[in-house]
Amino acid sequence: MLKDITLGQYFPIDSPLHRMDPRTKILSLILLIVAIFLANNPWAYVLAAAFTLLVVALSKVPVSMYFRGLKPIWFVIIFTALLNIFFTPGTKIYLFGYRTPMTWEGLILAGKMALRLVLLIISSSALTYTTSPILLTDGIEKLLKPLAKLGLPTFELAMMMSIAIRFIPTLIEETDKIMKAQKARGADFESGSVLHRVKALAPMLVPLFISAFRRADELAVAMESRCYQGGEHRTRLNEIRFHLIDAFAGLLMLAFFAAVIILRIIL
Amino acid sequence: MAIEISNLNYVYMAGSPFEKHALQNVNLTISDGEFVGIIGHTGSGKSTLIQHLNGLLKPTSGTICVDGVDITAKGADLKKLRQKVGLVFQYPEHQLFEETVYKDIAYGPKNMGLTQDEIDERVREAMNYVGLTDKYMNRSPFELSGGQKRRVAIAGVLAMRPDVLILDEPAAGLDPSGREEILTQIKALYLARKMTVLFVSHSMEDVARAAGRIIVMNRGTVAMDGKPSEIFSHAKELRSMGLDVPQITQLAASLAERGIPIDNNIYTIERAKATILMLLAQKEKGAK
Repeated sequence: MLKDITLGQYFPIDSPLHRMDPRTKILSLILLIVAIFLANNPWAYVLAAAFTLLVVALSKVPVSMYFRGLKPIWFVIIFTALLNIFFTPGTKIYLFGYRTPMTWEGLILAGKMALRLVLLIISSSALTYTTSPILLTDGIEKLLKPLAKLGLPTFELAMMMSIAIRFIPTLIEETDKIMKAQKARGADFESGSVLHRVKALAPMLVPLFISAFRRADELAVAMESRCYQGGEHRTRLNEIRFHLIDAFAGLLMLAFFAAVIILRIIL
Repeated sequence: MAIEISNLNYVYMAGSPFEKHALQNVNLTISDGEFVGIIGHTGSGKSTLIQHLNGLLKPTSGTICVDGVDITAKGADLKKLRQKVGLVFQYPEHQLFEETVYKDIAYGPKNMGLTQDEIDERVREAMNYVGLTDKYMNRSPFELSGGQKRRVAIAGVLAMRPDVLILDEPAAGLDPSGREEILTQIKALYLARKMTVLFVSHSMEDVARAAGRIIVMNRGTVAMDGKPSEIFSHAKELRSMGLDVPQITQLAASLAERGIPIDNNIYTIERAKATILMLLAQKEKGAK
């Protein structure tokens, strides 16, 4: 289960998507998500799905990795789909029991919602698989920069984010180790009543929190001992820059977005 | 409680660029009452190996039989297995969570569903084995020293009365006196409880002192397996695996190179001391 959490995982290979500027990728993802939500007719859905598949192909990341990213949310997808199928009013097509008619409208809505969720996860995964956490936060910081004039602590926000992202795998690994250590003492995290399972979490959460605090403390000391004091005048080893590929990607993205809008208007 | 491992393979993160063949065709038999040292460089697969022995990891292929029961079979009783094969991890910080030392050690027996009286008996017994006196019972495990935390962690596993005790790097990261204490305690424990002990370490010194048999792991395979004296006679191979013979064995080797007739199977300081004293006495006798 823990190994299935792929969000925030970087997949270090070389592909056109890997070479793009993180800012282009972040803005494109935002546009893509908006487009997915704007889509309101079958053609727009087909287009969005095709575009997402194109992104997946360009990323050169194995399709199995994307499926792995979907694993933890299958339950949510199926659950919402079932709710939609049975609780949307409309033309009844089949009757289970006597109060939960399955409707044609529900079926279509369920399909749309499921497709939306899957496309959202796949496209966000495409960003994190192809962008290293450092580049990602660099990109976010650069994009937020205009807001610094309004007093938003953009640098601190970006630093907090990169630290948080950096520690996701560490904490997952730590959780795994703690679970193993407690399992070796007969702990059972997977069976029993809900109350029992919640109680069974204490032996896992206590060591995890303690170690997280200890790590935070050590990191703070390590940063301060290297004279860290925030954003002013701090420079980078590798500045991020736009390249030709970003122009192509941007144009493609805008064309796709425009197509979705046009489809929305004319159909 | 014999352990038989045959054709064990384990692959981490199969199908991703992080794929790693952590264990390759491992075949081992560990008999009842042995004290085995498992040694290897970081990433040699020693930790992966021991996590298979109590069912925390499922082999990619191969079988493991504990006490004649195949633990890799579907539906194997893992809870019972983990009680029989006690595994203590390297960092006590990964398992201590209760308010008091007593409650923390009682966690294992409690999971076994024992009565309050039995739990109490086992906790006291386990504390006794690792040399923790009653005054520690109501202290918080978090305010103890590194060595004491490790004792609590070991006691937490011993309280389940396992037949096999596996220790992952029990002395790593401790200061010399803490290290000394914990190693002495483990050896005493082995003699007192007559249990099978598997001791994982990357330090030759630590392994040489206690183990009657040493298994050397290298790149996921068993590179050597034998008595300490046999293993340490292969200094060159060990060095090529990023390992080394104990310092005292090196000293004996350089003495031998200078023509001093010293034994070639010295790997503890005690033995070196006795041998050198004996040689000196002989020399004095010869001079007279």
